[in-house]
Amino acid sequence: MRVSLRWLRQHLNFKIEPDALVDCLMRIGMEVEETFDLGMKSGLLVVGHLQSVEKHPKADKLTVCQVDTGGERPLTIVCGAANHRAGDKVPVALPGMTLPNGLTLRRTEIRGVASEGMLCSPTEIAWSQDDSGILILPPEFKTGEPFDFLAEVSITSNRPDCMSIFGLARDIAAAHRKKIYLHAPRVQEQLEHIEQLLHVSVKERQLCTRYCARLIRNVKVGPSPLWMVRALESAGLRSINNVVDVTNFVLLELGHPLHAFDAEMIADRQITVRCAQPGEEMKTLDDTKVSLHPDDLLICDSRRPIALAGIMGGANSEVTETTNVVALESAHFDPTCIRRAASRHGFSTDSSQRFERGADRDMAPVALNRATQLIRELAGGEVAKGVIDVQPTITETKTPVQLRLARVRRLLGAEIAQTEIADILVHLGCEIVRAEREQFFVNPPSYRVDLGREADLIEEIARLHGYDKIPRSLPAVVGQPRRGPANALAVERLREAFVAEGLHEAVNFGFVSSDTLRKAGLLPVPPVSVRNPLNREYDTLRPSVLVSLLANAAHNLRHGARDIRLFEIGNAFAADGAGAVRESLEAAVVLTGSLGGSWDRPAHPIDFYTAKGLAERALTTVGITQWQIAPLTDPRYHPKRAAALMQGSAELVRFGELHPGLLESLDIEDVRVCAVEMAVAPLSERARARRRFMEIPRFPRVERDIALVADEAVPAGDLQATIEKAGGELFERARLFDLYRGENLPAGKRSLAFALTFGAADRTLRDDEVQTAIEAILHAVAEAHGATLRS
Amino acid sequence: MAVRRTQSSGNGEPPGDLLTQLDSIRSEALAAVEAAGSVSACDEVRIRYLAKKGPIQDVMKLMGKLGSDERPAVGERANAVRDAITEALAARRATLAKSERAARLEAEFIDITLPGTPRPLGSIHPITRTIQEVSHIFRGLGFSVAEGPEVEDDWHNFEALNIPADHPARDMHDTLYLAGSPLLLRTHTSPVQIRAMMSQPPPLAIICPGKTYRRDQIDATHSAMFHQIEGLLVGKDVAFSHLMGVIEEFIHAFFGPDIPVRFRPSFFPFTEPSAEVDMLRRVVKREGDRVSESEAWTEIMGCGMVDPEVFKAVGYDPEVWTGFAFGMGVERLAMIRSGITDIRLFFENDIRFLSQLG
Repeated sequence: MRVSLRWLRQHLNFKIEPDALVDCLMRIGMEVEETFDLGMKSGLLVVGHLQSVEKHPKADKLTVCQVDTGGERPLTIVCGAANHRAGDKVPVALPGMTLPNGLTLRRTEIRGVASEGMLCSPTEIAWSQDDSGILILPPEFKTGEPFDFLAEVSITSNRPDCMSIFGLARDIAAAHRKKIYLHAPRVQEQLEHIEQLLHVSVKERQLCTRYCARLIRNVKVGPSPLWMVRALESAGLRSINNVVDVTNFVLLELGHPLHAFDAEMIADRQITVRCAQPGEEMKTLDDTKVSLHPDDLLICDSRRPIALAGIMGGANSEVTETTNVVALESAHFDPTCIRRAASRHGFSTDSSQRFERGADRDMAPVALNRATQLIRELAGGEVAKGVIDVQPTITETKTPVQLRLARVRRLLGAEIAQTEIADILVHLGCEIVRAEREQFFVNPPSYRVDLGREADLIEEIARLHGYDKIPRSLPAVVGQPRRGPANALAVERLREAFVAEGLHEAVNFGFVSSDTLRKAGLLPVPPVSVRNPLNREYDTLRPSVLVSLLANAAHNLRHGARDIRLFEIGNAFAADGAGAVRESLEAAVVLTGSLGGSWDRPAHPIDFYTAKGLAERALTTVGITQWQIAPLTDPRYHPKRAAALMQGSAELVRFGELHPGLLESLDIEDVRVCAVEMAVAPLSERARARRRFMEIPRFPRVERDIALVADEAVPAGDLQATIEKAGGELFERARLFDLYRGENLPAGKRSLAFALTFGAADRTLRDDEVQTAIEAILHAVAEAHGATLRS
Repeated sequence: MAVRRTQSSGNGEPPGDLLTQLDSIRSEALAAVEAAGSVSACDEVRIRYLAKKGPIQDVMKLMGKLGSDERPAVGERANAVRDAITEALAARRATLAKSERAARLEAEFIDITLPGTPRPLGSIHPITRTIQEVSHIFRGLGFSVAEGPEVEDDWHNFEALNIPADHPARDMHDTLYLAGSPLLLRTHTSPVQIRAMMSQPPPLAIICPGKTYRRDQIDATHSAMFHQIEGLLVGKDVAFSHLMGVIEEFIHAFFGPDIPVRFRPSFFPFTEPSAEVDMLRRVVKREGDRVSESEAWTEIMGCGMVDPEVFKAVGYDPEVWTGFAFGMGVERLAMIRSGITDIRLFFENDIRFLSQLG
């Protein structure tokens, strides 16, 4: 909401400067998003009175003006606009003034004539979009006084009472422990009674909780006076005609939405407030055709809808230049009804915004009279006698809110004197029905729809006492003992291990595009789709973390990176078939390019074994030391270069080279990419058995290398397993350290060199003992795999 | 150098002659030691004079022919000569070894400006880092970490938090719902607080970090997904003053001590009173060559006292228990602290970004 300090001051009975205003608004919870100083802060933009406007001696399109700005002598100002005349009041920017666009004014000479300021156009001072010339001000403006100060204020949704100049002034006054009053407008009425001229029937008394109306005949619809035009503009509204302007003006001033009908368009002079009938349609003021819903509340005449209640009038009863009789509506509607209808039809109007947050029932007749008085002033006409007022009071009895002072102290942690609390409540317009020792019974004012509970009142006390006056202290934080998230430790270990391995952690959205998934053949059946995605890029919850990482890899490759090592630990989603969604925490890695490499050593290309090493590292880092390897059938992976580490039939981690088809579908071409994937929970559960300490050997170990020649088809892992089994008591471990094919070996054979370690806990081994063990091993590998010792 | 080989004839050489021989061996050997120019030359000298078949040994062999009264003098002299040679050799050898090593090291020069062997460098994502650091601070204050699902239901995400069915936040415009189900992507981590309160009796002190989703158009400052850390303290006498103390303490720990912190009244459905928290920070503006520095209040988070309706929803008695809650955006914290101006950078996962800030 754009607030003009000039307008605001008309309602305040004390003076407030721009800086104090901004500070006060912040303190009472009205966020000031932006301000424009139009002179009230700097004193450098003032109301000037044009004494003369003459042609520039050397330029046809320039004028030289003598402007009275309240100083000792008028200023000479050169101006290029064409709409200003002698006698006009205009905003004058003085040298030193910084305009909202950042330009700072200086005394200049324009074509030989010294110019001591600038006459401002609306756009130059962020007033409006009107670019047609100098902003002409109402004659009522005093020469020499600063023009204005505008503040863009954001009003929280619980404070509809502040969505007006008067409402805001009322809260500012309360913050200053002052009270402002609205003087009841006096309306001059004619003899004929309104009830003979207009009939109102409210069918939906729960939804239309008050309906006030007046009738004004013989109005002359036309342009509004300058003060009205400028007042509307200060709040960002455009002038339409004097009658419509008045309804808008009162909405801005008092916060109560009104609607003016062309009464001659109301069939049978009968207004009925009812809900829409099936299939009913209407056209609103903005020419939108609306297919009505049975829950829409309508203002109708005897035949058809003439307004979408509380939201927008109908085109059929709009006030135009030919309007002669105006029916003025000031009603109160159920907030939920208005909110639903507005959202249903995509409307958000000044009127709907106020009704859906909660308007002031008691303001309805006041606003009506204020508007009536203004219409008479601006458009003439005669006002029918009396006011139609359906449901002037509601029977619902309000019980006063109990406010316990001990509760105030306990909740705020501050000592606020009882007298101050009472003072705050009174200035907020609350009525203290009963004051007892240590407690009040309070009736909040009708405009504070947000105050219904003790907590609401305590909030108000804190707000007006001032948050900055409440002492800050640290509590003894005590909570029931809690276990941390189940997988937290495993997640931390995995992250540390991956980072230590040179991987970069990625963080991705939980959703991806179904198109991408479909193209890559990764769209699960059924997918977990977003019902109302903002765009197709994010319409499906990801079935795996890997999908996101591959998109990151593609991004990095596009930007010239070659060596990419990324991991992410995050949730993947799956439909569980019963309408619920299963979230599982996954850790995934993608790798491409090579590792290491420098001027003195070659880089090591990333391959299956790099992935395998990472997979093994992931298991050991969370505390798993036992596993078996098994081939993996997963269409996302290379058919021959992928595997899983298992415990029995449970898979712990899968890894390998990704299928080139998958990569291609994700726009990754010409590179090999490896991946590692694991679900965190199973790892975390299996890691519970802690690693046991093994005595560190006190006697020397014996190392022996053997090279075994075996068929290509014999897996190294099988050889290793056979060695481990046959090694006997003294055997400790076997480590493959070389793999050789080629010269000196028969075709189809390869040589695998193992480093064997032997040892005993109680002695140094003798040569012959070791030799016996090795022979047993050689015998076993020959038996099982036809492997022989390489000579 | 000639080595005098003693002719062993056995016809009784006088002891004086043997002593003279030993003396001349000594002077000859010492001269050889002196002349040795390298460690290996020293070794040669040692072999020549001190080996089992060396000249001293030869002299000793002749000793047998002497009378028993003459033997000790010759033996003594022989030992003295051997010791003198050994000692001289050791000294000479040490000197030579030292200078030889010095020369070798001198020759082993390398180009120290060649690049060091690069280690593969990993990094923790700045969001994770921020969450870790914030969690660390709050753990120190006595809070523990709680987590919850990203896919939530209406009750935990809205209803229990006093966000009524018609509240604009529940609109399809702001919240992402799942197709064919009433489930939604949580719009804040507050449902974790609800779940924690449902699962245990008060008192309670938790922080809830995690991913949250909004139906926001993505630009430099908005994202369809971002991270939040929310906190909740429930106790018998938890007051608004405590909330302000804890938040100020956090900001001082995270952004630096003595930073002014202010609380502004605000509105959230789940807290009352509510506040927005600002901190005063220096803002450096560059316009061309002009650099101007000013101070500005920057919004850090929202917070407030837990609304009694929320306590009622989870079965806590609001007459007995009071509490505060707060929530902040992780990306925002990281952006403010690291000077990142575009939120999208966090989710592109460009390794140039990751390795810079990790």
